[in-house]
Amino acid sequence: MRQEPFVVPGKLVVPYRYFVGRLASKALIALRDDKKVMGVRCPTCNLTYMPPRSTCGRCFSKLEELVEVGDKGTVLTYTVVYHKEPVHPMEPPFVYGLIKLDGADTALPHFIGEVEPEKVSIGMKVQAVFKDKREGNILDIKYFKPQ
Amino acid sequence: MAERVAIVGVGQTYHRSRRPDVNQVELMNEAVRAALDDAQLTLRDIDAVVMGNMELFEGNYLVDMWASDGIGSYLKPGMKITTGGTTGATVSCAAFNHAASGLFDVVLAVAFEKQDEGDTTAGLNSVSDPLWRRWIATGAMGAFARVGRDYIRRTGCKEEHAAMLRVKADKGACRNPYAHLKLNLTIEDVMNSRMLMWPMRLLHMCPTSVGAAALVVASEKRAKQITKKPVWVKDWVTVHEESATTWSMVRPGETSLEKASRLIYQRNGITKPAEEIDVAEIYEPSIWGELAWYEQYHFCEPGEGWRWAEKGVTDMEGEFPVNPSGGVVATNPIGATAMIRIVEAALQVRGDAGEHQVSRPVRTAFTTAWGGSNWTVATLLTKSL
Amino acid sequence: MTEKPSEEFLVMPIPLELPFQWAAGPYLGRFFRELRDNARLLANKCPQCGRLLFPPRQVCAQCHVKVGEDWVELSDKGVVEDFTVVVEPMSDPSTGERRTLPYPTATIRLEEGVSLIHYLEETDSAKIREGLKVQAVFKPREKRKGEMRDILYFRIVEGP
Repeated sequence: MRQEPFVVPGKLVVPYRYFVGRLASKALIALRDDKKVMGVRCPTCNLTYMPPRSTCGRCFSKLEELVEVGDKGTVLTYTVVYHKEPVHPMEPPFVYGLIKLDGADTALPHFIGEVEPEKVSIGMKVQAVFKDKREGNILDIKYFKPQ
Repeated sequence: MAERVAIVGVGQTYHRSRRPDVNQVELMNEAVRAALDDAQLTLRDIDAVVMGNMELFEGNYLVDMWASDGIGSYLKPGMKITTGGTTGATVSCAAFNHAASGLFDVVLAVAFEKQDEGDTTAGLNSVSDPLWRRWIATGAMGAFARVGRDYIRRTGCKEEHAAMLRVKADKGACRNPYAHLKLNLTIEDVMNSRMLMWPMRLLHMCPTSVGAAALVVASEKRAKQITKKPVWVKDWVTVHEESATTWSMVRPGETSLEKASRLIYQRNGITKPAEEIDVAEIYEPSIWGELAWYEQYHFCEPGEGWRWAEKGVTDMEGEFPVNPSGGVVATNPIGATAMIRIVEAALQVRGDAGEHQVSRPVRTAFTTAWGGSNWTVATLLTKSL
Repeated sequence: MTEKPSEEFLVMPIPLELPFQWAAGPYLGRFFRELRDNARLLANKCPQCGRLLFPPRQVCAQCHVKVGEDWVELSDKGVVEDFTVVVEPMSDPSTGERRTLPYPTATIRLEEGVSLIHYLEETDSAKIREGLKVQAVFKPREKRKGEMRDILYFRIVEGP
């Protein structure tokens, strides 16, 4: 006799907490306290990474030189989210972008706001909008808006 | 196997309860740099990188996506491996396989755990199958309380014997600069520590440590160029058991511990392990595991382990030293733990273990790892080919 | 503004909560259905070595052969083979909640020789011994969902 498959609903719930480390702590404290957006420079490769990391993947140098990369940048690419999902951070439609800050050589994923989604374009110049109550994480930048 | 392989560099972090100063990648980076320094190599000499951890302790399921900068795998081949308690040994074996295959000359292996970032017992309970056993799982404590009860019932061992081995472990840890718990314990301290689940006391159980370990492995030709003291990886094996629901680990009969060690001995002509092997670094998340498993590894006769504890056979100065590093009960950064067994055994073979170098001259070392109650990894390291 | 301590290390709490749908498959599925509908425990028998597989499954891992439909209904009675009392707080990964303490768990060997781990009704560890005869107490039909917790606990029915 054929029966319906027996399926058991369940979930996995575990609390985690992540230490960001010495270097990234310094960078995020500067963001929290002074609204300064920091990257880290590799002197060997002459590249500035944002988000900062403590080893250069290209040359394996230890990276310690935090530099301000500024709150202005360029949209390298973007997408518009139209569908609704419980995991989404806000109501659609909203825009995810990859933003290369002026002082950095790498792109930072973040939101693009204060603009009609249809009007966002690659190459658009944008500027960080900071939260008033900042906690020391990358969401202390609320989103990037057109300059 | 095609190529003979050797360990040419070892590294580990100082193991602690908490490391808020580093993130996961930075922790691994410390061990990688230590191993490269020990091998006197740079990342340019590395042909492939293998890494691993127990991902559900960090809730970060593809940490290799994040880690390539810190472990040096950027634009290099390699893979990530997770096999529970054996992770560090399986990562090491994967590095041995990479080098033995002839495809890669020099391979870096790195393993870590950052237990200050998750809830280890919740994570460990979640490895139990969700349909049958997860609801009642009690992590490693429950499993080893059972091992202890079974051993006491079967052999007439007393709680003092577990305490003796725990004090032995602590003596090793106090001489090991990298060890986590260094407590200057007495038998009474162990006997009076808090009861978790009879007969398991707090000091019978491993700590939750944060740490990383790394190995540099090379093919025979490169190994001889790289170092005057290569540690030859003579053999390695993994053996699985039936699913954990059968609780075969506390039953007499064939276990993965017994089978893995027997295979290694048979394949390498070892008939009297405790005489022919000079030092063992075994995986004992609880001191009850060490006590009950000497016989599983064929070190001693069934039921003789507690008598060995009484006689101090496995002390650092004993006839057959076991875990001179202090073992897992002193230091347990889970994903790295099984690799630390191999790192420590390699140091013993090289004669570079410093304060915790055993008295007996070391030509041959044996290591084990154990995970999930289902499988054992064993390795055999030697001074000469 | 005030000087922050030079060594402030940031930490980000990020709880994980993921939903799943676990398929029991035909063998465990039948087992859970029987448990839910009829409060009966089932095992299946390996055609080669003849041992009972409990929980029932498709393959005998020792013989490497497919196990067929040779079903055996198990008794709800057994003996306490081994027990412990959990006094250490730990999270249940199914809920994220801490389990209520203390609680005894026991390995119970059913009359047919297979074992399972479950709760005991008796919470006084002084009254629990190996060899005690116990019997499963099932939840009422309307509360049973087809899971091991459909057995409430095992009740001591007789001393050794």
